[in-house]
Amino acid sequence: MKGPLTLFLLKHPSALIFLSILALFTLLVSLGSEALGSGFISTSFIKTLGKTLCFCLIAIAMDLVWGYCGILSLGHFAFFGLGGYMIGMWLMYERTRLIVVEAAQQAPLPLSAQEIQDAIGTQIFGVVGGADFPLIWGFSHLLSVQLLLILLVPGLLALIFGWLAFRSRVTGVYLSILTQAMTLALSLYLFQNDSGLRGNNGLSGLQNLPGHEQTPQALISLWFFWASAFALGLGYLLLKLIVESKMGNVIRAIRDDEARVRFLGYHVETYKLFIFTLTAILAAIAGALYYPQAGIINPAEMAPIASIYLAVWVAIGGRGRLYGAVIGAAFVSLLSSWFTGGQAPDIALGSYSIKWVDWWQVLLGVSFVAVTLYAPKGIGGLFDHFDKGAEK
Amino acid sequence: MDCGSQNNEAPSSRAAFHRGYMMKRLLLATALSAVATCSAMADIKVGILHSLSGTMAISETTLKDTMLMLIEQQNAKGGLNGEKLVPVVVDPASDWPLFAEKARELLSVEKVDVIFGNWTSVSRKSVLPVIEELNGLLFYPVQYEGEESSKNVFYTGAAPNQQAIPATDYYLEELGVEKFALLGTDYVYPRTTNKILEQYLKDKGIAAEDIFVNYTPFGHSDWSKIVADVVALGADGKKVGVISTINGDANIGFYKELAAAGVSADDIPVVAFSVGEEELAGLDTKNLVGHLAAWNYFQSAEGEANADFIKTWKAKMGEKRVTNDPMEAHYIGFNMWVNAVKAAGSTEVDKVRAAMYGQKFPNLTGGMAEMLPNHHLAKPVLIGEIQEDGQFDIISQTKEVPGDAWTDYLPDSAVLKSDWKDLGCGMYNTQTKTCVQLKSNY
Repeated sequence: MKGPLTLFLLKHPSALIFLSILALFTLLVSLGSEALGSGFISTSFIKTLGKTLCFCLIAIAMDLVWGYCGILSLGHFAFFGLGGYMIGMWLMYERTRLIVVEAAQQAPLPLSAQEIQDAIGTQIFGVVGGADFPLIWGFSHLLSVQLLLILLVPGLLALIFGWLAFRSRVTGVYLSILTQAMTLALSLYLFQNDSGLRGNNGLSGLQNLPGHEQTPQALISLWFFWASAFALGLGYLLLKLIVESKMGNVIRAIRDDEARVRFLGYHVETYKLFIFTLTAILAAIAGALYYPQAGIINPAEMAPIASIYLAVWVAIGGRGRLYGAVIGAAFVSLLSSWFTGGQAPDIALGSYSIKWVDWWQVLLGVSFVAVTLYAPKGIGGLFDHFDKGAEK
Repeated sequence: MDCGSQNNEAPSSRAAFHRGYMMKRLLLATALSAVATCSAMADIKVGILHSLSGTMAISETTLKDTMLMLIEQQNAKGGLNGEKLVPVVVDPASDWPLFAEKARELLSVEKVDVIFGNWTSVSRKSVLPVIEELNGLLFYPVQYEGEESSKNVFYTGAAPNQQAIPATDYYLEELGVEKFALLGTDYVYPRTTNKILEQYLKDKGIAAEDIFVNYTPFGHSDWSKIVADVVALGADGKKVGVISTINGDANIGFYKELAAAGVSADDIPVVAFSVGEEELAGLDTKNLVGHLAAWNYFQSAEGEANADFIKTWKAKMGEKRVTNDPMEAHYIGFNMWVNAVKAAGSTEVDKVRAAMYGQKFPNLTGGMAEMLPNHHLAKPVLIGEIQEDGQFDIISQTKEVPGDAWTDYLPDSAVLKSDWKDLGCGMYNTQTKTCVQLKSNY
């Protein structure tokens, strides 16, 4: 029997191809990992790959909101970061609690619940000159609530921001500037020591899963790699379903001519708000998976430049074809990792030698300009014959 | 480069495979792998983890160049234990999560024997879990807020008691300052330092209302209100002194505003902990002349070792380049590490760590630096007056002050002690006589 999903996949082979490649890739990486397989892929590279998958997930969200719906948001990394903060609060609280409880067992007198709470507060906030838990940490001891907050906090922020912006019919470059302002304001707020999320220091040591102190990072990194791959696969399928549905046609029409869609009787603002909020939540999920692999989250992550990079990935990969965003994010971020790793050999040009560490960003900028001018379909355009849905 | 004469076969081929795999992914020419593999098969590898791009590049690139110079000098002397030192330079790009990623790469892929790196506290907190998990060795060369002790980190920069407290003593004893303005940029180092100083001043009998504390964001430019507040502190005729933990560009506007308000260094002196030769090199020093800074090293220190160091640096980097405090910290840290490796006869982290305790090496400013069991150095503290040419006139120099990981002036940390040599614990509670935790608090 063929379910609706099977039929959908048969009708859109590009999604099937993408999911198969992702599954194969995950399997091969697992087989090459130090934890399960031959170990020829180092743990640090597994982490890099896992983080790259998270970038791919936020990139397809960006493709939906920008490539399909035409909203050039330059603030989606704010949601990515918020997702990271929400999971980070639990990771930090719980890890510190276990350390405090363990240390308390050596003490001559057992500690009261309040004393344990105080000790956790001193440990977490001591580095920023505080000791008390701010109000926003109220649920940090409950994993279930913090998991829910990963969806709720960025979702609500996007909903309110989007409602205000779209209702006032802010579009185009003005909206882009507004989203930039949002992410900048959020990062500046969090930079303050009194914001309650440890200011410039942010939340650190997130790679240590509470209760898994003895589990090697080789295995933990693989868990997160799998989770990231699963989230990317699921997210891709969800977005593919949306863009191939009737709603997909409407949002593409909004991108091409918003006024005409409005005159046809569609409630443009609701569509835009739905897409904006949905992609914000996807970005938050990507962030919640990313930061435990990165190990530290800090307000600098939400600086406007991060969201601009996101747009660059999607543009280089090719807009309006979800796999384009995946290719762009993976290609550019892995290349960036390689160039900054000091492994790219310098090129000696007589008296001057090109050091990639210095020149890498110039190269990225030039390729962004070149892609925009000469290859608007991006790298993803090369693979279009696998996909009937792609815009030719 | 000759790659034929290598012994260490297994790990290097693995690293090569990893690289080969990565490059295939990046669709790049496999020809490059020959070059990369070559450096992967070196004898003793020294990781250099300093930002070469981004906001911190201006400070950290100098430290990378310092390390390359020190390694070059050591190789010219015949290397270490008969082996050649090979630097592995990576660029964490002033991106804090990238510091953790690159540290893991250095330790697990490049298999470096030691890492010299980091500048900001947040970058150090980012690499701590990785260094501790993989049992690496990090030399951290910058003055910092203390309240931390990691088994795997040697802190060669100043702890608060080696910079802030002696500077405050100088204010109290030499200048007769009675009212204090503690101005800082809003992040962990100024926050913690000022918290310690506030308590210290109260213990010395300064009333709470005579201490003015203010934090401003990074890159703050509007100083008129704050400067006016500081000037108003002295309305009753009491001597006011500013202790500044203001970081980076914000300093330019701050000193300019002081000058504009007609306040000279004689009226209200400013002692800064983040303004050194390197920072002054890019500034118009007119507004700063006469103000103070506290460090463990100034380029103007007299002595043969310092003259040699400056000469080699200028010969390598150019006449206009200056030397500064974190460079000396790397100089001491690197030489101590070299001597510890010689003493241990191996680069194995635990053996080197054991050989580090009690290592002595002459400071560039005279006297001997000594590595203590709490992974901090005993170093002299210098106070210098800023000159027109961006150099410092040294007006006070203490004898060696032992660095203190946990400050004595805050009740919570006064009971803590770090001793990795005998107690084997970085966070030992001297009251309950227990080790609070073995890992550091990141």
